[in-house]
Amino acid sequence: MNEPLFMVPTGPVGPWDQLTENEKAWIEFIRVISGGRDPKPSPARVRALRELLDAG
Amino acid sequence: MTAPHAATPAAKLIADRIRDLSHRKTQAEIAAEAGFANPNMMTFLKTGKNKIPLDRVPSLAKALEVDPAYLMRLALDQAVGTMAAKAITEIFGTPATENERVWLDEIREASQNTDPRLTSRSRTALRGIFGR
Repeated sequence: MNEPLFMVPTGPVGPWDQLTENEKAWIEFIRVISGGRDPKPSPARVRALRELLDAG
Repeated sequence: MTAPHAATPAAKLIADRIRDLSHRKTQAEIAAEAGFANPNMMTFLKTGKNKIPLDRVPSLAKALEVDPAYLMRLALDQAVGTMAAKAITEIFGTPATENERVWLDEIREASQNTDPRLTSRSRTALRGIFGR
């Protein structure tokens, strides 16, 4: 995956406390496994995530 | 030159971004854009001699073209230490980046808003998608 890791800043979006505990767990896990590099959505990543969730 | 913050992720990020932007901006230009009077400030930050001033995170994020929420998390770790930063974010919440908001929207849409649990199978799959 060679796309840029960073994007132009747009500011924090949405209070953290409005997320469910499950949603916080998903985001925190993504932060850990990506080494905190804030991975940018790409078609391949989005497709893989959708396949994972579609599988239930 | 002592560099108490040399090993921090914030210093590494700044060094990486200065290198990535070097074809478009000099370090002195980034420093000026971030509002630092001293043109050598970026050298101090990337080598870990100085820590990121928290009040400069928004302008520095813009100058470095990184997400401000992400830079704030790293700057907070650097400013008060990992444990104190964790306590602060537990109380005030961790800001989500724009990229993370997109991921959340994808998770909600693909799961049809069923608020899926993060299972061990999900963790394994996510490692394949996001891991390095």
